[in-house]
Amino acid sequence: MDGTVSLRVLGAAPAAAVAEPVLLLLGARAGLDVAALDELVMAVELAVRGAGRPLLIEVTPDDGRLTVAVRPLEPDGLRAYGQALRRLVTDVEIDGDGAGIVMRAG
Amino acid sequence: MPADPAGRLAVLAAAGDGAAKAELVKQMSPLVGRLAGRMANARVPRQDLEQAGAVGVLAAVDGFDPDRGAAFAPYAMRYALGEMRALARGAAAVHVSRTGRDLAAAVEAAAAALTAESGAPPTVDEIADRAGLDEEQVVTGLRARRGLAPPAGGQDELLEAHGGWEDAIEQVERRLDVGRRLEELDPRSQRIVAMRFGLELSQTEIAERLGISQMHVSRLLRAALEQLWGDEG
Repeated sequence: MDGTVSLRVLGAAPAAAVAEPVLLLLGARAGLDVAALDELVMAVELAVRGAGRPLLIEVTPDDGRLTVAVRPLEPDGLRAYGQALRRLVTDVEIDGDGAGIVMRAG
Repeated sequence: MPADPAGRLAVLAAAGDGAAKAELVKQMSPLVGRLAGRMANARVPRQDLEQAGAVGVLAAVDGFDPDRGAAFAPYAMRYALGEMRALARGAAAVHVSRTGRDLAAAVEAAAAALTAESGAPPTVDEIADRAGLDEEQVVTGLRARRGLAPPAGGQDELLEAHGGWEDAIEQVERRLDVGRRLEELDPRSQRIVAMRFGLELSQTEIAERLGISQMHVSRLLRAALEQLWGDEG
């Protein structure tokens, strides 16, 4: 499975449930260890909390790393969880308008 | 002696007064009942939740310090809620299939052995090789393992043995901007969050310090984050 996998899901709980197996499988193939995989899934679960609009989740394996982009999100939620997310994954970029996030693990 | 009647009973109960314990559970039962009523569903009957809540009330007795001036009831309800949530998570966990449970056990055993050997968490491929499974089975096991309830109780003695977590809790409150919500978590959850986000220990480091597996730490941490932000989702 190469390239970016895109998921479009409505609602936080379904988004987290749909994203989990994709993140685990692509993360496994990217060579992430199980602790990094676990915390990446936790981070995505946290990031999508409170999302009420259809979410686009894009997962891209890249040379031993996994990049996950999630949009659109609630800026208030990202402000609340941002510091926790930064400690769960290797790198976090929050869009200028606070409505999206890119996280990298590995 | 505290002015709060329930606080006075708690002090007596902590000293071993059985009648005070029984009276305390009786006095707290309306509050516990209201919480249980809100959480009860087809899988978790209200009566079971009330019993778990009573266990929480009695657990709160030992840690209650009347000199801090706080009333006993709100303090005890945090413990009651923690016990009820643990029960509810356990009820949800029974929906993990038997196959999933078997794979989760095999994956966790292989991961623990590999971590012990190398000092670092393994990859899915390494677990697959060790457990004689394929990639998909390991991922299924990892998913099942994430869905299992965190082990109930038993870790507090180990957590108590780790010094410095009180400072770490303050660090977490500042870093994660969660205000006083951390103090509303049950003590076990407070400490696991403090170790991961306050002391900034990795899951593997926490596991080493506590003598448990990384996957065990993961379940505790996930449950704690669910408690911390669960009402906002």
